[in-house]
Amino acid sequence: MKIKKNISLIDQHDKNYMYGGKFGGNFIPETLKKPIDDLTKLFTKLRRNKKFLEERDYYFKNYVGAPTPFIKLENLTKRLDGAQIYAKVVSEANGGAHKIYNATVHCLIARRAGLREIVGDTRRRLRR
Amino acid sequence: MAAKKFGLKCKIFMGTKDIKRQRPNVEAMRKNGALIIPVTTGSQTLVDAVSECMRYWVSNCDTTHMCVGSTVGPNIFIKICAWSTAQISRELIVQVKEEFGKIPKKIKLLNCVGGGSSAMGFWNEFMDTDAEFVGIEAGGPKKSKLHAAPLTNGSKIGILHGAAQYVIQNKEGQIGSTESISAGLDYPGISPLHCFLKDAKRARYTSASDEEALKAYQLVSKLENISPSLEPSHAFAEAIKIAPKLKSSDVIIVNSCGDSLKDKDIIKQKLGSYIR
Repeated sequence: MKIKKNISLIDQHDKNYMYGGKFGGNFIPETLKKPIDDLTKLFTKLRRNKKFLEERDYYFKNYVGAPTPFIKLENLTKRLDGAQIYAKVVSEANGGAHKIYNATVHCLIARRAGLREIVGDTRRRLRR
Repeated sequence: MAAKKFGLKCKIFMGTKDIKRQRPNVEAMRKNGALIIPVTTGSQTLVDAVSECMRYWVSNCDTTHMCVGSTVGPNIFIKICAWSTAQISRELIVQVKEEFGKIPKKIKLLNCVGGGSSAMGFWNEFMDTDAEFVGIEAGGPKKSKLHAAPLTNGSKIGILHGAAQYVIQNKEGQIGSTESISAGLDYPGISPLHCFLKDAKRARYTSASDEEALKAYQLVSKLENISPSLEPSHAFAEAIKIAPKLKSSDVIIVNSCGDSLKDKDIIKQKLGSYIR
């Protein structure tokens, strides 16, 4: 099993959507086949759509608060006296966690699909 | 919260156990107009919330959009999620080059993994570089046999939420129970993308116990101006473990992907006090 270079990892699946021939796929009930096909087609188009990318970048910058800080943890580094330790402080994003990126993109997609309601699972999304 | 911003109605499925232990989050979601649907089936945690959410979508898919909260589920949800969180590494690769002039030779990117969405976002842009990826799963309480670390503990391949992956299961192949202090990592499966990275040997996976995560939370919050939630505290625990054995030419970057505020109650209960 090997990771290919210059191809986004998410696209390294076979025609059955399996990664490395073993992982992933769509093991879904018949009733979900159409909505999932529709969503797949829509997203495939949107991720190549310049306007959609601009929209994403706009909300990441002005709503999520990109970029989040990258800082050196000087005291921890001193204390442990080995490697230099840094943190990417993604918790500074609106909502206090990385969950906002996916949630924002899903809302943008739902809007494009003309749907009015969004359902989700959670334990730690959409805070504040 | 995002739904409110975009004028969408929002229903959130959440296990009753998580509703109790993530109270600050629940209150915030309600304030933002989300309808919280308590899930009382199974373990009453994330795994059952995802199942219930999918059941709801099956019968309401004409009017409703489903948002799976991590890089799990049928392929399209894995793709959308990883594509979205990739923003983290798009920013980071620029910041790293600014700080060091180039990507340092010996650089380790440490990230906790439950479903695996933050790690995918944290690593994505570094995929074709020499950066080393370390994923830290939830090892559960020290004395417990339960954990949420299918990659570290060699779980078999099974199907969960529409995708094949390494997943914790019992002898009969039913999805097994998990235990972790961190609600975000308390999940028996793991993104198929991480299974792929593990078997291709592109990333290394290990685990940290509840106790190690709590200690890491405490040390980082005391010494630094950040206070990681219990999920990234698992990654900080690994950093604390390996940093002393490395040289100053080695660079460790931890994705501090959540704030401790949401875990205030449970930290107080376990440590007696909460600092931030």
